[in-house]
Amino acid sequence: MIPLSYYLLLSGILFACGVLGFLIKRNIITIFMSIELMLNGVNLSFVAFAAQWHALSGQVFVFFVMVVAAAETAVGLAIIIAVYRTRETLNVDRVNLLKL
Amino acid sequence: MQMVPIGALKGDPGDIARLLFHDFLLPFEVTSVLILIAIMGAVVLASRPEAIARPHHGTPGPQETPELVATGKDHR
Amino acid sequence: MTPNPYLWLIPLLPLAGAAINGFFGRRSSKKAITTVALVFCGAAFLMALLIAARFSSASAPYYFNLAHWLRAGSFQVDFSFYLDQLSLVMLLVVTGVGFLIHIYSVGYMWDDDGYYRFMSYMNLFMFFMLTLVLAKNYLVMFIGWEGVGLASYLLIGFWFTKDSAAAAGKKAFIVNRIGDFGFLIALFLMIKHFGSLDFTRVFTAVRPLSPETAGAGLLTAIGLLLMVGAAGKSAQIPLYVWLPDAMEGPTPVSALIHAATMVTAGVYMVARSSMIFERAPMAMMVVAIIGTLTALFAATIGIAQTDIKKVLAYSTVSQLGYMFMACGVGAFSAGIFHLMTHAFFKGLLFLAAGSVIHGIGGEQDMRKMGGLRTYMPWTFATMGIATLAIAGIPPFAGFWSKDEILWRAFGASWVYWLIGVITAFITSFYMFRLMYMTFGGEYRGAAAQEAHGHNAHGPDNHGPGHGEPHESPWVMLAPLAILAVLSLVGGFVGYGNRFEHFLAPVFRGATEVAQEASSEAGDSKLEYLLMAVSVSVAGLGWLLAYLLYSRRPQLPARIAQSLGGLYQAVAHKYYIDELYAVLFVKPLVDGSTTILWHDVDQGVIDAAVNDSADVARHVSDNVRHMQSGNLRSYAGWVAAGGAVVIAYMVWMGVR
Repeated sequence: MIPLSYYLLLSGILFACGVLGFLIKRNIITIFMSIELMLNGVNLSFVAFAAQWHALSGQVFVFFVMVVAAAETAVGLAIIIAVYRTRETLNVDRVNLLKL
Repeated sequence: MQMVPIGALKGDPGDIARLLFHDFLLPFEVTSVLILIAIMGAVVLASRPEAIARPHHGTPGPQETPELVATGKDHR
Repeated sequence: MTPNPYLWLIPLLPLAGAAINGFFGRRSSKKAITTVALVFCGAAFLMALLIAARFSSASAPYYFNLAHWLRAGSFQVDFSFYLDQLSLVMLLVVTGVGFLIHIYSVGYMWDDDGYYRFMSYMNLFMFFMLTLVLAKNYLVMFIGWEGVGLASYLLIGFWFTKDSAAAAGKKAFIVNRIGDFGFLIALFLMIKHFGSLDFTRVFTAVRPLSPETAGAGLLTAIGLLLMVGAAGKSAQIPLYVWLPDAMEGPTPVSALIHAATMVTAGVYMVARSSMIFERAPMAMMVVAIIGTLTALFAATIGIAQTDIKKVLAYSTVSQLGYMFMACGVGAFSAGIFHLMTHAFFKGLLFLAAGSVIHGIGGEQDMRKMGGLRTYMPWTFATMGIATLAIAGIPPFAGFWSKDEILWRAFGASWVYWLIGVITAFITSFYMFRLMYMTFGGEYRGAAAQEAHGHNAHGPDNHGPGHGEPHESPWVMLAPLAILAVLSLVGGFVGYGNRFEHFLAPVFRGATEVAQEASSEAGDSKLEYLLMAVSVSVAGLGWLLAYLLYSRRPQLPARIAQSLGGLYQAVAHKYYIDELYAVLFVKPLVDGSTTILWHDVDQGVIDAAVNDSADVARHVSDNVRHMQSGNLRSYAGWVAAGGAVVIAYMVWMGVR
């Protein structure tokens, strides 16, 4: 019997780690990993609630979240490859051609 | 203090199937389309620039055009 | 009260003429413009004559409601016209003298480029003046009041390219407005306390009230405020300063507006409100005092002026003072009588002065005139008749009216009479001075004209090289002759109190008081004695002018020199204009510049607009840093936005 708040706390920590990494890291791939971390933290929270309230739709929603995460990762990595080909760097600060 | 019982959910495949193909059918289908688009986008974004430009310029010659779709010519 | 459906035509005919000339005059021939102007003005005069011929005191007063105007609860005002004996006198004077001056202006302004504009404005003036005179309520009278102020402004500044003329027009209008402020407050008081502005209603409400002897009270307030308005319109102390400047306008304008008709509107208004004034003795006393002091004051300034039109301007102010003195002592019909005769002889004086100016090529300085009686005999003769009239020499018109006023003033207080007599002496003196300087001796202008070579007095001169003074064309002389005849015989209207009896139904209250006064003052012997005094005083003035300006022309300069500062003060109009400039104009202009312009207009209004633009610029300056091209800052903004949304959701959930 694990209290619900433990699950939520863990989920929150995972999410926070994800946000921190997203904001602080310079390597694009590390940023993507942080995004995955955020999404998985949310998944955990969904599953915890689904288990507590005996509602399977929580788990189905996790299913969809994972699919979207996978799709997003695929596209994101493709973009990284394209950016790497032109800018020869994985440092996100160097990718500043968007500046006016 | 709310507790989460271990093994509370039976995870019956029939139940999951009902949720997936009955209650949440629309999101399921939309997600599949999403995956398709993501794959196409990833392929296009990650391919080499000349791999896309080749069908328009035809630099190596018509024989070396990669057949992306089977035309049935090779069967002869 | 009988209705008369033709009353409204009289003001509207000149309005039609003004509109036609105003809109189409630019491309019309001068003949067409003249025809339109004279026909419409003459038609008004003709209608006035017809109405006068059919006028009967039994069915008077006539009225006519043209249209509804204001309705506010129980207060209502209509476009209504009214004709009683007083209006009839004013109507005939305005249309008659106005028509004559229109004819004169045809000749005077013929060579001017703005001829059509001039005739249009003159007709417009006639419209407003007739509205003023024929109004049935104070508000329609106020329309006319303001309108003649407008016409005056347009006509004084007729040669608007000249700075002094434009400034004079502005001055006239603004000083008039100050008077109008008092008039308006009087109207508001009437609306509040009598619930109406209609003459009959107001006077019916006022009639049962007893005279306010305590000096305070509603009627005194109304009377004093009406007097403020009259002082502005009729150029009395302290609002007379615009009239001498108004001489910048063409001479027919000075004759019509600033001698015969517009400036008399104040007197007419006071006379019309006699019912109110009769019951406010303090207001009457103020009227009389202002009138008397103005008469004396303006006359003293007139002695030292060298511009022929300025002399006549101050003379007008002085004579208007006589009219107010008459109204102030209760002799309203005497005041109106003097108004009528003054219209004749002062109009004539101005027109003749215009003839002189026209004949010598635009020069207005009397020191450069002289000897003109040989060159312009008709002008000399008619002007002479007018001078005799204004000096009060029998049997000319001015004698009858001025003497009537002096007699009634004596009945009220010998102080009024004494000041009136002194003013008459001064009047006679400066008028004959004008005559001797202009027409006597030798022509001094030839040398001056050759030296100048080109006169600068308005674009109405004949141009350089036209050295010889000449008589004016008949179109200008005919009105002079007609007015001269009127100045000669116009006084007999008042013989034997006929005029007074004619106007008696209008001034019912005043007549009673007057009869009391005349019976109190005693026998006719006293009257003849006073008459003799005033005539001899006029003669003395003539004699003095003859001595100083005909026999010994070098004396005046020496006298002026020995008087030194006093003469300088008089010659500079007692520096009143400079005093007003320091006391009123400068603070207002400075206040407007610093407070209203710099602080309010630039500081608040402009600043609001500019600052809002500045704020937009600063905000965008700061916001543009959001678009840095730096991916991680974008990520940071996304995270921050997400955090805000989550926080809001949590907060809402907690509530």
